[in-house]
Amino acid sequence: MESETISVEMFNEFVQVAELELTPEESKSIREKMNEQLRVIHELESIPLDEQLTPVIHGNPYPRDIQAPLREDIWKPFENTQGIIDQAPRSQDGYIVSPDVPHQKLG
Amino acid sequence: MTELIELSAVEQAALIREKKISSVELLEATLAQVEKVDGRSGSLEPYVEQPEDLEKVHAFLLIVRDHAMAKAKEVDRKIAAGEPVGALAGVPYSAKDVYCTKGIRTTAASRILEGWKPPYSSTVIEKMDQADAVLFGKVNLDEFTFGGTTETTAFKPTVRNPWALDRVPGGSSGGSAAAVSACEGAISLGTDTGGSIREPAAFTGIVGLKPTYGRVSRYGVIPFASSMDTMGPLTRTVSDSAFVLKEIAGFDPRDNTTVRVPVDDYLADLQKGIKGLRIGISPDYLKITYLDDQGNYASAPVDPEIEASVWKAADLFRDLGAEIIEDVPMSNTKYSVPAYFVISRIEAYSNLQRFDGLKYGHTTQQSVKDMYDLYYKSRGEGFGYQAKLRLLTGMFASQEKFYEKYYRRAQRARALMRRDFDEAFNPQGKYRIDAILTPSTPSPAFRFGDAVASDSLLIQFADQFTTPMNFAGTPGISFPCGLSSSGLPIGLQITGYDYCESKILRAAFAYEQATLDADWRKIKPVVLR
Repeated sequence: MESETISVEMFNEFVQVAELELTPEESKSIREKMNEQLRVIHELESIPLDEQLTPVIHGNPYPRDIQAPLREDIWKPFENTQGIIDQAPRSQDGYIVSPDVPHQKLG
Repeated sequence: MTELIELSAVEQAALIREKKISSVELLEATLAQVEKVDGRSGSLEPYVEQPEDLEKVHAFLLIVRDHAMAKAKEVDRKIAAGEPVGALAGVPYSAKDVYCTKGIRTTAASRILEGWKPPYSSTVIEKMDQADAVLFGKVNLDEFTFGGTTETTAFKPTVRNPWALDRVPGGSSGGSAAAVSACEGAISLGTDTGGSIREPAAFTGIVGLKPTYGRVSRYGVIPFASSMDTMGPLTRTVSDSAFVLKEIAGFDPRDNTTVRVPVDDYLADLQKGIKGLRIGISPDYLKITYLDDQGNYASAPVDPEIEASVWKAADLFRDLGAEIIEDVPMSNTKYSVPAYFVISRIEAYSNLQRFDGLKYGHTTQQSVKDMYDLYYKSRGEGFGYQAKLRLLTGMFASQEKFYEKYYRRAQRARALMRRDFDEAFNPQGKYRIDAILTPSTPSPAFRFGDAVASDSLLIQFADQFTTPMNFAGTPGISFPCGLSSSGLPIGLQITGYDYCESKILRAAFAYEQATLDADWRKIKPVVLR
């Protein structure tokens, strides 16, 4: 079993990438829980796997004869675009209004 | 009134078609039952428990009376005019609140979707509408389906088990299971990613069907883990599950994982019986297997009453003409927990990234300095604890440096588990089985809080017998087989091979018919007594 743990620094990085704002209590509790759960993840290492075993994305196979054919590449407008806009917390003239999007100059 | 709501959907539909009752009359009776047993709906308001909350089921998040009444009246009009109607004409049903319903609030039991009204309906909801069924409400669940007790919902009070109000109804389709068990509609639509239809069905003494992955469209259903999410019915009878599946199954051009495999006439097929059906029993489904503190595999027996139920059912199936094949090895079942854990978290992480507080749902009311700040604050406020935990765990496990070690390895373990099914069901193989009989869960429903606080292996591994079917993509049905000594429902599971729903429905139906007069079937949930 690997004794890897998620440090405070590592955890804070995840939180940043996950675009979450956590309270200090949540941060503490979730990091502790994640470290507990690493034990379950590490159980994977104890599974004897034949190197030839091909990974699968889905359990049941999709032979070609039952597969859905690819759709024709034709643009079909959604019939209720206003219904989409109506759900945005802030919108104007058919557009979703966003706060400023920060720009970063690439070096 | 009471008699109407206790009827099966098949019976209700027949009475409406024969004009013995109207759709409106049935809807009124159903809504009256909700009024009587359900109590206040789950809400995002700060929750203060009231004494009366402890006496109610709380399955529903939303009742859409006007919408339902309009549909019921339309069905009655069509029938009166002699116009053709769908198979489920006039039958009221509810849906787990992850099914998108056009113009009707859909929450996934999360604050992040607060106030959202989808601009479209899921394919399954459309199909139910085409079958002329009457959607009358949306039911509670674990937030984003993340759980097995319905306790993680952001909408409180959470759902109580109609058989024992101090116990969980299971989850994540806990609202669906509790509603059907308490006769608040004969049908509820649920979803199953690791047992979320079958476990609550077992805990509440009803039938829950998880179809083959690809059998029912996922379009318009808020996802948890996209490679395992499956849609299916929860009902009080096996016939009703067959009835509903016929209507919702089939290829959907909007879900590329649905397949071009003919949809059977599941209801008619029930009459074929089970003579000659080869039903396997596996020792790997009669124990919980786990890694102990030293890193060695250890096992614990399931609840003795549950194991006894399996053997009793096997005897009954044998008496009905099935062949019972013992000792079918499903030895990779024990790997399902860690592999499921990794794959489901990674897929959940991916699916949760769409919620940003900008396009729909909850948005922070705090001042924000830019768009990212809006994301951080809205998501921080909108997601519950379990969603945050799963999101971050999924992110951790999906890091590029761990790809081989975790995700790829979990996918290979998945292939290993699938191999168990391929070998057991191989028509030219050693076992050549048509179905496997297992417990649905290692124990009956547990008390509120136990999923977190209890160190019982039977609780911690409550989904060990159901997740393998989500991994393998195979179908499974949970059906009631009696009550424990403490009066709690016990469920058995029959699982079959890809697209063989007809066979597992036949087996469950045969069991149901053979036990119709059993004493335990005369006992009702406490909320109906």
